[in-house]
Amino acid sequence: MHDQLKDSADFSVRILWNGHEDKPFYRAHLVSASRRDLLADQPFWGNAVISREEYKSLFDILEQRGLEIEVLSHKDKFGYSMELQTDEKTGYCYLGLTEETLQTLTLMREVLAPENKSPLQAILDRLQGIKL
Amino acid sequence: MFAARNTKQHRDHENQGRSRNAAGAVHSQAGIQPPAAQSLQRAMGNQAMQAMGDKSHDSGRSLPRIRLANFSADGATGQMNSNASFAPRLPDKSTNQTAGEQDQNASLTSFATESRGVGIVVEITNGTSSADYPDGYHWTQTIDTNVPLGGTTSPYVDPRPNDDTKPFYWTDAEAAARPTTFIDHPSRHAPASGTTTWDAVLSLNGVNGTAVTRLDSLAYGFSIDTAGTVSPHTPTSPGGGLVTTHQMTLASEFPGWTFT
Repeated sequence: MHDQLKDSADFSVRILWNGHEDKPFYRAHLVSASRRDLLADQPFWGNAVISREEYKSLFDILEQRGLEIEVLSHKDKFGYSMELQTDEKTGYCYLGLTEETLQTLTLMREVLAPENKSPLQAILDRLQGIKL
Repeated sequence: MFAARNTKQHRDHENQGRSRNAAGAVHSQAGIQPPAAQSLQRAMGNQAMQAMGDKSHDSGRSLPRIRLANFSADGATGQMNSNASFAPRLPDKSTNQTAGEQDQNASLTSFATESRGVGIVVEITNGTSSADYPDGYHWTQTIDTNVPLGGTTSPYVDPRPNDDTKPFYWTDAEAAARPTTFIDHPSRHAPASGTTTWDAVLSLNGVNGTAVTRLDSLAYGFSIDTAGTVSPHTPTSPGGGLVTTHQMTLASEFPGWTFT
């Protein structure tokens, strides 16, 4: 499934939070140009249209860090998770909320084009100060 | 340091003592003088807002206000109005007051029950700048819950831990993006036993350097039980005790700032 998701040119990536909130934590929605219409301007959501190369780079980070993509969602697990969706497949990757999570999100921010970094930056900004 | 309290009982107790002149009582009890610009009225739905118009009690100066536009449906606590939308239950106010009788001036854009909490949107009206407050208007929010986040005890300043060095809800960048709007979606998971309560006092403040002057406040919240049933705590004008606690909590966590 990993490769099927990775090789698609039509994709949507959502970085989701599950857990208690006071001031909400930020979410991110990154899509291919073909899915631009899916982006909605919502509070505490950052949106960007990213290239196929940027999308593949996100997978590279998951691979480097040994993070697996699974069929089942992690909506009941505390912390951040990724939802990767194409026309044919939907996969989920659990990121949690640890120092490793911040490292992963930071790496993801770095592989995005400058104009597309803000959704990940907003997540990281909101998490600063949290003791992990 | 503030200890955790039985929030619901505390809130109910304070509600019992609320009067139509609650805002004035707050200032007297807390020893806080309202700013000259503060003749804020708390509206109670679209109908009431139309009746109020934009009448100011001040001498022509433009006042910052929180304006109540409408509420989302909440069958448990809402009151259906003639427009088939739900208006909040504000026990210290009636919907047929005339503008001249209003003594408060706060409002929301929306308040709705969500799957594990509530969603709230509040707007400032009457501008975003003032000579008295050269650093603009900023929101502060304190939380009293029996499930505190950030390794702290209640009450505490939201967010906790802080995402910048200031006492305000929004960071400077967020405030620049939403200069007149407060948005929150607090949530908690269903507890294994008992009931989780979450109550907030939200204030609109005028800011001059590190001097923060409270202009208007709102209390709201929710509780969630073991079955995951959310009971909203409908927005109301906070009693004097809640406002005092709000101010003291801010002062305690941000000793380099003044809160009046």
